[in-house]
Amino acid sequence: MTTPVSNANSSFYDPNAQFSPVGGNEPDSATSGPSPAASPSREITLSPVVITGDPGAQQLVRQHEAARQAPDCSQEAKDAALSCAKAGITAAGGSLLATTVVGAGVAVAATLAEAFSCGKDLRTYYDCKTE
Amino acid sequence: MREGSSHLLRLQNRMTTTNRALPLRSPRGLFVLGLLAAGGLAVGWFIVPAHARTFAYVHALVGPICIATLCVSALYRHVKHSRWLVPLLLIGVMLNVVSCPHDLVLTTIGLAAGALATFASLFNHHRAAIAATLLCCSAITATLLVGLLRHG
Repeated sequence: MTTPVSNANSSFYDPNAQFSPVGGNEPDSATSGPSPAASPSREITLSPVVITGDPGAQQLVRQHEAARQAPDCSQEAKDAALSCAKAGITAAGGSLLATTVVGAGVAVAATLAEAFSCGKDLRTYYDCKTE
Repeated sequence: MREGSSHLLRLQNRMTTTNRALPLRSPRGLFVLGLLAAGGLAVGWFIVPAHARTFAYVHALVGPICIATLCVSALYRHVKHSRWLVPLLLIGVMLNVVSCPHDLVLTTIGLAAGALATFASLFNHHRAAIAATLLCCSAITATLLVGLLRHG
């Protein structure tokens, strides 16, 4: 026993299934193509075609994906590097230049201010990278 | 005779200051400074908001004033390696104008004074270095404050 071609579970394209003739007439054989009984293989050979479309949408999607993958955090990185370099310079210079306890206090205050700024800029950079 | 001994005493005081064990050069002092710096980093990371205006004003004031105090004190006392460290700290102060809003005229004055202070310090002109350091830090503080007020 062979499986019928017009199986309800089959997913192939059947033009006869979508054609509803007016008044119950049978479709014209010249326009409906070969019937399943005439050609059981249903293989159609098409000549090579070139499918042209709008590449703009694809390009937009690609750009969106690229932008989502790598956010531009160069300015935040520069600010963080600069403020942390300043904090390092202040700590090193302050520790070497402070001659008295008061001077040490001043050096500690300057180092703390720069360290606050460095931590804030590092947090800004981290937030930019992880958003 | 009295004037000569006074000069000798002053020179001796400066030499003593130069060779004295400095408070932040000891291992304990360095440990405390590192601990405070790490604490400052943590506070800046967790507590200070990204666009805190009050912090920007405090930072614009405290940094240059403290560094000016340190530099003038070190130049006055002839601290060892101060001729190299003072320009380094002044470069740190002048870098503030890169990432903050500022006034062009005041920034130019501050950068010119900083360059003068650098050369004066490198060539051991202590009085000129002190005056230029004070002018540089004042101008940089002023330009940062003006920039913050304008872009507020």
